[in-house]
Amino acid sequence: MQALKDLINFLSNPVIYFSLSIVMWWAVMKFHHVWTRPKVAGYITLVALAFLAFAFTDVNFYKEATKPDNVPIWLMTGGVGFFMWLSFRRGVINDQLMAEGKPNLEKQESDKKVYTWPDLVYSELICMVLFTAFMICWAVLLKAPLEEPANAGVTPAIAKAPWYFLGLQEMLVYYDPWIAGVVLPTLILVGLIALPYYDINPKGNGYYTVKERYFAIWGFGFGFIVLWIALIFLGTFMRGPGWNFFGPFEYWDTHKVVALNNINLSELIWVKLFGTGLPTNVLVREAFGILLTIAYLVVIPPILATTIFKDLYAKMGFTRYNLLMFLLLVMVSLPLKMYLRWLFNLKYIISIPEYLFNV
Amino acid sequence: MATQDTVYNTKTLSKWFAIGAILLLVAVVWAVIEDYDRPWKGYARQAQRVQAAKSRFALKVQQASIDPAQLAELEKQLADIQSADTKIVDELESMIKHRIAVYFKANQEYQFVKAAYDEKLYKFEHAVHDLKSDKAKKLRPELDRDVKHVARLKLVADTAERARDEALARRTAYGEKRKKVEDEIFKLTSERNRLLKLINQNGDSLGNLVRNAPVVDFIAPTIKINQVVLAHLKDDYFFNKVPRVDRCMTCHAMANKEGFEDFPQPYKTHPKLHLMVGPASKHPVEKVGCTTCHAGVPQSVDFTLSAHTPRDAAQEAEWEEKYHYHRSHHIGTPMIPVPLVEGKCIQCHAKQSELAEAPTFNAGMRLIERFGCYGCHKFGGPLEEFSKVKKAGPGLAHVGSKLTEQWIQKWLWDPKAFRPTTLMPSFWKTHNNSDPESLARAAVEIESIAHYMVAQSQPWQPVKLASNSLKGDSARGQHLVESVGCLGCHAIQTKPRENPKDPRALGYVDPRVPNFGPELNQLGSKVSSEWLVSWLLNPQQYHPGTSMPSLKLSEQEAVDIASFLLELRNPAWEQATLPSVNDALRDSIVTGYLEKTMPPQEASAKLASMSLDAKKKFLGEKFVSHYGCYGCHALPGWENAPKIGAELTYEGSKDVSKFAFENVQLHHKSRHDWIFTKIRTPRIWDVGKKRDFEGKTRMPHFGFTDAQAQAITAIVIGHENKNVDNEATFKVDGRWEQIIAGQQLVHQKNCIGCHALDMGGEKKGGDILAHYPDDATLGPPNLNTQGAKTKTDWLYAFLLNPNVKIRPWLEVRMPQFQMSESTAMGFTRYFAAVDRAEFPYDTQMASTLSDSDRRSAAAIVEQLGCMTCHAKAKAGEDLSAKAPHFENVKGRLKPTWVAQWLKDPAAIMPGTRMPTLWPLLDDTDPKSPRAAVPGHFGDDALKQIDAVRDYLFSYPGEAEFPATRARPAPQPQATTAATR
Repeated sequence: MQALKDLINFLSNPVIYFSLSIVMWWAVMKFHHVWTRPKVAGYITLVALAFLAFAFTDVNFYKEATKPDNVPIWLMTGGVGFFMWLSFRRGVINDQLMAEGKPNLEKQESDKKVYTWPDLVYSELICMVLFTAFMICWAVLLKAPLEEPANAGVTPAIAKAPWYFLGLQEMLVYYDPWIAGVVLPTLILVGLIALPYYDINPKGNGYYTVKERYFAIWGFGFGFIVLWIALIFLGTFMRGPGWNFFGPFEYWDTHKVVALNNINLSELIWVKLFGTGLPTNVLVREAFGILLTIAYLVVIPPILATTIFKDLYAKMGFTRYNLLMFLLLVMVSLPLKMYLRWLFNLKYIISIPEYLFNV
Repeated sequence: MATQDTVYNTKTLSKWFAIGAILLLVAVVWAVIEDYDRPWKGYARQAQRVQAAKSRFALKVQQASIDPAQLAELEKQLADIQSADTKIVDELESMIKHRIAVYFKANQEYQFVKAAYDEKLYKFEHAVHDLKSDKAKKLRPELDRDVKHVARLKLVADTAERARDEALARRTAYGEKRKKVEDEIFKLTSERNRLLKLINQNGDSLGNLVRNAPVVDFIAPTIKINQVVLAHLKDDYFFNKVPRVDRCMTCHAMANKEGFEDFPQPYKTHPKLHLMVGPASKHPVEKVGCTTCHAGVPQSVDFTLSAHTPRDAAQEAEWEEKYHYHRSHHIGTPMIPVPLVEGKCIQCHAKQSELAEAPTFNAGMRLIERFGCYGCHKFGGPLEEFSKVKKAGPGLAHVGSKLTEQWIQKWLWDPKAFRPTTLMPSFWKTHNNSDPESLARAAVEIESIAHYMVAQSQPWQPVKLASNSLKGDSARGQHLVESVGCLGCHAIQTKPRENPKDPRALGYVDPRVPNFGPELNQLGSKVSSEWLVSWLLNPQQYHPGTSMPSLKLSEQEAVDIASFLLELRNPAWEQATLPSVNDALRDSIVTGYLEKTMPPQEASAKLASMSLDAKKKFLGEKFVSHYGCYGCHALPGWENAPKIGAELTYEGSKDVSKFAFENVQLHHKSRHDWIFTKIRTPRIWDVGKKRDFEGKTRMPHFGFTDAQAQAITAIVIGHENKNVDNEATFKVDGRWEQIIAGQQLVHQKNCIGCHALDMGGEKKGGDILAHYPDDATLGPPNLNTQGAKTKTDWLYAFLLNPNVKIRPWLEVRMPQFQMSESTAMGFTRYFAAVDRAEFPYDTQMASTLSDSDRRSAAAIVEQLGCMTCHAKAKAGEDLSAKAPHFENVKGRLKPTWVAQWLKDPAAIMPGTRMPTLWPLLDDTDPKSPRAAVPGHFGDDALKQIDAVRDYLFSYPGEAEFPATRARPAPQPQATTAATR
């Protein structure tokens, strides 16, 4: 029992957890025909619930999982899982129908006329009533905790961002606050806003499909499911005092000490590799990092344009393609940097603390 | 609408809607109930029921006490008056109504006409101003006419008013008779009606149910939050200080009401209601609240969230079961467990070290004073003052002349092996240095410290005796030790510390507080006769800062006592051997220290050049600095060395997360648990931790009992950041400043070891009196009313030099403290302040008697037989039946006090053998006349007392009395616990 728990604790550490979630996303996309089948999905759900039931017997897990603040995260997990299945399922069905030449589900539905009352409004009313009853019961059962007035001299054990930003707070481990807190969120928003302008795939308007929008779903899902939802889950249940990692069955020790021996790229190259001290000129010192970053952003898109993304480039044109590549490269840089940290203890690729600029 | 091709079946939808609606209703009702049925309302309701029940019971009693015949008589009277009056009253009423109407009409007419006149006047004056002469001319006569009209109407109105007032007055006068009877009835039934009203108010009636119903309970609920706003106590929310709001009495409704002492919590009266919380106490709840002393979360009315703290694990288990209680980890100021609550007194009484009716506080302060915690820890407040005056341990300036190096080593290893009740704590063989490696190191440390002590000891010569050939008689010595006053501070095995069952009875010995001086049961294994005799004769010659006074012993007495005390030995101690010291280990420790300030080569060279003596002295100095010996012992050269312990001035406010619990598994991690554990077992935090010598806890092991540790914990917990505004703290005005300073002196010199005295709020003391169980007057006198009794200059001179024996029968001696003048002045001020006596000049004076009065007074003295006891003792006479002789009265006593003494000696000095010579004729009435000596001063006892008093103040000497009239020897008066 304890061995199993220790194994799960080990498997939940950020490196393995994150790697597994990337692999899982790839598998979700690749085998979407398989896991959307109701029976398969049902079994997967059953296994997950059984695991949850087993996990709840552990005191440490129980303590964190039943915190009133964390209950919505379970709802989120369930909700994301269910609606992901639902949308993929409909997509699979539609792909099947369209392969057979039949109209897809949405088309079939839209040919029918639906009454406002009772079909639309009455069902909405019932949902409203049931949902209100549910919310009231929830509010009565899980009360908002009221502690004593804040003491400015005592910081509580762990200061976590709101749950929807836990993914970003995780990024703060690997990135400078300027990058993780300002640049990246801005780019996320800009990228989402600009989506209609570089998403030139006309398919999938008004109906679910997986085959016809494979690339878009892959990209968006990677950004949303892996980089956002999965990290929220990690940030809620497996980040404890001091933002240290704690496995789901581990006790949250406020005094846990973990060595963080991280090194900048400039230090790695100049000091460790060349054996000299750091150059005094900032630009010389960070030359490697700067060149690397520029190369990453500027060199890779043209290379890809002439190789893998040849037809994509042709379809999108210069501006759209480069915009998309820029956003994609920035998104991919997140897991990239994470692995650089985990494998090489790399802290900053460019480190200019004099101007508060670190990448 | 009627067609059936809807997507959803309407019937199904309606079913689900019905289900949803019912669920929503249930949810809403549940939410409302959850919101309104709060636990505190249950307690408040129950409290009201309890009070109603008590009122009902009181009502039954009250009703039984009303004489029904009397009540019926009064009510009949009232009815008679009322019926007789009906016609007259009716007439009066109608007349009044009529006159009021007349007045109203007349007054209104007058007002209106006057207003019109004023308007016309304005017009006229305006016309004159504007030089419109014809308009003015026209208005003038009209005005003149109107003035007269107005005056006439005013007269009418005034007359009507007077008539009205006269009628009203008549009605009032008429009602007086009836009012008197009504008042009688009211007096008879008021208590009953009050109780009825209370019962109705607090009872479960329909009206109350509605008043407390959800939503409408904002209007006038009977179940409400009961809160006290404390203006003087503010919570600091950073940039805003908010007065605290204590809501404890919502559930603890009867805390400030008498009569609920036997009820379970929370319906219980607060203990010591006369002192705390009660309306007539010094700490009424309206002013002080609850959280000032008990801490906790004041605004909460939930049992768990208000951070109640159980007093022990058993109570915590009980609460967990009954109330689903759990400790709150987020609250910085949970309630202080009840046994520790007295520590919070420090918040307002920050300058005091002695408080009436606060036994734990006093015990804690005494313990800190005795064991000398302030020697290593800074406390602030009175303990800081104490630390400047007294060191807990003996001075070591001349220790080499008192003890051998070997003895010191044995002592350091384990002080309790020599003297089980010693105050000296253990530094070695404790939780963090009992392993073999530490023990080997300990041998080095102890050897060097002992060597250093002897090496730094300054030369000393004992007191020179007049005769060198005195031989000691130990039987005499024993008798002296048991009678001369040593037992006020010391215990010996034949006279151990007594612990009377009722600490308020004879003597005051709190079992938590150790004796002021060390036990004397092993001196033979410690000191030489030469040293001991010198010490007994003049302690300050050996150690100027000692607390031991001189008992004014003669050289023979000192030699006798020394020979007795040196017979008491500790054979096991004498036979114990010391472990040997590893030379290599010593060298390595020296090298370790040297290498801190010089490179290794130099260090080893220096080591090679050091002799063994030099090495030991070098290490000794290092270890003295490390362990802080100078915190308790006066050590020359170390006077300004810093305190090695943590500052405890604000320890009660230290955040719980900053206490290091290490590997110790406490049941719950709270501030007081940590402090308690630290005091009990200071070094237990090092168990299981890798610590080198410098990193190990240095606080030594005192071996406190749980009760002692708890008392000290209370004091430490009470040292908090100051929360209370200055206006609300205890005002230390002139009188109290002197009392507080005096209390400090009393504790510095241990007066209460011998004397029972009034500590300025509470009477206590006389530890030694436990050894005189049958007759307390054989022991040191009770210092009750000392300030009112003795003249200021006499007392001052006596304290500086107690060379006059007032009470001939006493064997016990007032010691010569060799106190400074400021100390003597402090004591004199203190006694005067306690009794609110004049200071420093006495304005009381005895009158000069006329010759005849003088003769009468002398006759009274002869008749009463005062000289039987109060005559000066002749040579060879038995002193035990003698009393203080009258020569001392004039210079020593104050006249008012003497008169008081003559009236009632037993009240001032319980147990005295002085009889009450002018007793009250009626014992139960303090104002009753007194029995007088017949034939003098018109048999007026008070005049006789004054005359005798004035006579004593001009006492001529015994020659005036040719012969004393025989009078049986007076018997000792009974002492009851109540008189102390």
